[in-house]
Amino acid sequence: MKRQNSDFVFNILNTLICIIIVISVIYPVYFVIIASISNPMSVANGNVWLYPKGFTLMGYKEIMKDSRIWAGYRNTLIYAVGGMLISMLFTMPAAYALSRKDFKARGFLMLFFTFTMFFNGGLIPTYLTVKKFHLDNTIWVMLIPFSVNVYNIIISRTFFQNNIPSELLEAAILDGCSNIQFFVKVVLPLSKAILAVISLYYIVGYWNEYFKALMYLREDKLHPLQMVLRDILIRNQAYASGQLGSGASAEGSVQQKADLVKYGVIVVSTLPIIIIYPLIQKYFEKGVMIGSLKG
Amino acid sequence: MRNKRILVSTILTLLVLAIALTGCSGTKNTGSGNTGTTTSANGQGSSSEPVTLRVIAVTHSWTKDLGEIPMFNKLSEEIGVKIIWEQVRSGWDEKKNTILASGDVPDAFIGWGIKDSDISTFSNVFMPLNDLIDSYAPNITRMFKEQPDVKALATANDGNIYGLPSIIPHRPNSFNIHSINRVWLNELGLETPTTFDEYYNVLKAFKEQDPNKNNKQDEIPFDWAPERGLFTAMSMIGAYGNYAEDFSGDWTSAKDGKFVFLPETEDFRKLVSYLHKLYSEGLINQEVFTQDYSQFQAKSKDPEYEIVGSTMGWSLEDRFGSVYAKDYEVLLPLAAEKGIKPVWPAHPARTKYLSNVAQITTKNKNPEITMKWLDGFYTEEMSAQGYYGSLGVCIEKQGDKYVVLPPQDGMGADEWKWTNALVDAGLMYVSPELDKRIIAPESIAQRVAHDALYEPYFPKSEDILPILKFSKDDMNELSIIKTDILKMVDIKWAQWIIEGNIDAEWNSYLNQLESMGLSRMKEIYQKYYDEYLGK
Amino acid sequence: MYTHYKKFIKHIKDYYQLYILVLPAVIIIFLFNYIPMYGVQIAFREFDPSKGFIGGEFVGLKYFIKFIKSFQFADLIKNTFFLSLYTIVAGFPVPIILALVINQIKNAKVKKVVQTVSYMPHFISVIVLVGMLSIFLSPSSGIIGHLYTALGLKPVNFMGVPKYFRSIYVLSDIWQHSGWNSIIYIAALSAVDPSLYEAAEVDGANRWQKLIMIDIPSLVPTIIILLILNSGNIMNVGFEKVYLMQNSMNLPVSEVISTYVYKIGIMSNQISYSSAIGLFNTLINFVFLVTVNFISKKTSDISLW
Repeated sequence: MKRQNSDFVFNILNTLICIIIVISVIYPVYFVIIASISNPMSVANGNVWLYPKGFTLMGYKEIMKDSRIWAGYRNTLIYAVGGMLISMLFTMPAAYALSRKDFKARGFLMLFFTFTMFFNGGLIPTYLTVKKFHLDNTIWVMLIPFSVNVYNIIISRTFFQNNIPSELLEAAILDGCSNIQFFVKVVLPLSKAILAVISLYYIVGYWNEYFKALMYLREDKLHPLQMVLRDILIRNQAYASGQLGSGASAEGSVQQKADLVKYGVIVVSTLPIIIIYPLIQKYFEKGVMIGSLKG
Repeated sequence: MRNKRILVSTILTLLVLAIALTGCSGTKNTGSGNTGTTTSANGQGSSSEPVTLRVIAVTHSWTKDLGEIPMFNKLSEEIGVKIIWEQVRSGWDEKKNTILASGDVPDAFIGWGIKDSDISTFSNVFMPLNDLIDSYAPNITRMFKEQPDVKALATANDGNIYGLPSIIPHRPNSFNIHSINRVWLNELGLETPTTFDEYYNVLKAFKEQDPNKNNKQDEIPFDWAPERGLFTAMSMIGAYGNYAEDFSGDWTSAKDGKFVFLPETEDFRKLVSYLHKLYSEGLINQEVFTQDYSQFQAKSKDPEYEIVGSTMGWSLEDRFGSVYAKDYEVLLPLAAEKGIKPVWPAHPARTKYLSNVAQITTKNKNPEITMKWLDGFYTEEMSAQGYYGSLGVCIEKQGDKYVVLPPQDGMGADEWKWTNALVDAGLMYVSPELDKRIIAPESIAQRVAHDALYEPYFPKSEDILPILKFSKDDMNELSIIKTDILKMVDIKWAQWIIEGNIDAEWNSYLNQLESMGLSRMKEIYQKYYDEYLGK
Repeated sequence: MYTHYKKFIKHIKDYYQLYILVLPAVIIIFLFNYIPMYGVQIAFREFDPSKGFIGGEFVGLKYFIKFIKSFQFADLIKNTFFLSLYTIVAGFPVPIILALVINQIKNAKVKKVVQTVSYMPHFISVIVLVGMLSIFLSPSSGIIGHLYTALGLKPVNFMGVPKYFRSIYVLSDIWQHSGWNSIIYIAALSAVDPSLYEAAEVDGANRWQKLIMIDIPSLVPTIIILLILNSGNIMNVGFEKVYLMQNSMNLPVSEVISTYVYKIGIMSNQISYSSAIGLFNTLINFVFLVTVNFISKKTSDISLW
């Protein structure tokens, strides 16, 4: 039958594209993994491409023996989880309110929020402001002042606008439900998909946050993982700019270690995130929410 | 009721927010903004209560926590200060302006953090040190007396000293070594080249005759470092007997007291033509301009074969690693033609002196004792440790000599010293006399010996452009002109070496440089150079 | 007047809860985004640290004019704009297609694997990414070089050819971030009412038709909003990746505003000048954003405000 044929072709095409995606993406990722355990000279000379050469765990040893790594992991966990919760708490209600076409302040508030995506006072005035509130060099600077990401508000708002039918609201009002009640009892349960996505975005954002920590956290003990990893990673860069006529390594081993480490760093910093994602993924299952509603 | 519950929880959230904002957090550190809580009555650093100083140290990323380095703790104890270290190993450039502009500065800076331009831009942040040095710094005073040019180096245009300098040990006069594969020369029965033509022939033989004996034409006869830094082919401009680059990275130089911008000279034109000839025949690494530093270093240390025939770099060991280094040797400067005495670049002020290694800020409530503490780094004993590490751990006193101990923890010598000392970020005065009494490790001694081979070729001092100090406005103007000009020079240098055609484009190139402000740049440089010479 | 007042009171009574929902976000944004905006003044003043951050003498458009008249101005604007435009235009469809394709996978396990694999590159740091590009694209030792030699062609030094710079930059960007960027579309697709598919099935639609008639329309609002947002980034080319990819050969094309500002900043601390350049950049972004938003509002009724 005609339909079965076209479906068949569709299937093949789809599968083909998937395979291409998987290979083209997985190869460089695979490369990073084998490079992290290979002789860095071989890697840089392009001799490593299917399997590790000159197997060595020196890179990982180098990373793990830096005691700041563990403090870094701990701090990052606090910032990521705490930050994500606070961010979600501030973001989602706002996004919902803004999704309501009958909310008169909506236009003004959207402009209010969007404007900040493009204009900001600059690094130094922001720093001075954070200082004024005594937030600098505390864990709070990582959790509060930058907790609201306007981009996420906008995406969430779009989601609410398109997936919460107005009939639901009308019915709820008839039942004597207030706005906040409606949000908490009706909207949120229906929005698992967007909640999953935005919390993922936030948690990854906090996990990767480097610059804010660099600017606002002066003490080693508050430093998140990315800062520690950056210190480790930068050992390679110092050599790269060749300003090391000053102390250029008398031996290759220092340069070697630096090169080796940069691949290991990727693995170390990314592993936790890669583990989290499949857990959140179930919220993206098709039609996971609406169906239950129609009753 | 539900309504109430929701209202209450929203209010609670706002409360949390408010509380957090008024900064009642218990994790707020006590170290910030806490300077000089105890001031000793006469600033003499009595042993009663230690004065607390907040110091930002910008160090190499290998350097361990300064609070764990014995020599520094010992010094602090002796002087009677307690240092709260804030150590920055990466990302300093991004933070610097914010810290300086916001006034959120510590009592002192140590290491690589501050440059002349920072001091002139943020003039309200840094304290002039002249009087403090005279009153409280006998060792620094001694250094200035014995080595007057280092005092000149540290003195700004207004006559004040804002940043302390260092003199470091065991330094060559030149950053760069031109090396060649001795084993290959022997294999192919070749003489060491001394002129450009001879070099060309040797490189050709390297390329065609498979000296590494692997039946592949994979040899790279000549390679140099990417970017306009210290280890490029520009060091060869002295082959014409006239100029030596000044290792500033800007390709500037001097001749008989006149400022020279190398990329506009005839010698530059000739050098580029010669390099193009080499490149066009595959005698230069085809990726010389696109490789990154890792690849540059990896090519010469490939575990399977020796690939590189000759190259530029800091030392044989740095370029070839401990396994291959013995197969290479120093190549004396080539002459463009027989009869010319070539010049090899050297700049002792840049190799042996460090400037701006320490500053005291105007926020410091205890400058006297801070200066005493800083001065403590310049004693003979501290200076001997400053480069290699603490006594007993990295260095050992034997009679009147100091011997550098072998590294531990499975580290190489280089890594060991960078971990345990400030090295090129450090404060110290190693006089020529002390320099002889510190026994350098083998690889460093070898490097200095190699440098001595180049000595007959070093430029005379009128031909070395000194480190100049520009006013803030001149520096601002220069930075824009230089960014434009150097971009063009980079592009053309690469393009002409690869494609040739330099002669046809030479004049329009000069005109371009002119329109970007080359004359103005030369004028500014010459002005300051004249002032320098006048002193 | 009184009726207006009464209307206003009624409005507050009816909607006060929505105001409460939005309040925390408003407070944070106000405190930490709007208050610091006073600092924008520095672009119009001569920075003088002794007078506080914005205490310097007012110099009006001096630094804007300086930038516009600077030697590299035209090149910088051109390079920045085209690099960004190319990134946005080429990068836009890929996450969408990816989402549609992944959404079609029936086997849940396979779907999970493909999804997870597709976003992994997002976490590779830019330093490592550019290092990898150098290795893969090296004509002598990289995979691409080997491929060329195997096919009997002379390998091209891609990293050094100006005309390839933008493509390498953009394609590696697409490779790295499409998987991650597709997540939002996957989420949107998962929110589609399954009964729509059932209805379509009944009507005899094949998979291709279902895709066109159900999947794609469900993504349209998200697509348009993201497009508008991206257009507001038209002049924002991040510094790090470009700087790492720059070399003497591709400089004519690879010098962008952010790397230019960085290079000046190494030699001098021109805070007013770099602020002015940043503000100039922002202005262009804003104009674009407003324009695209306006067009979108008129044509599709979807807009930011």
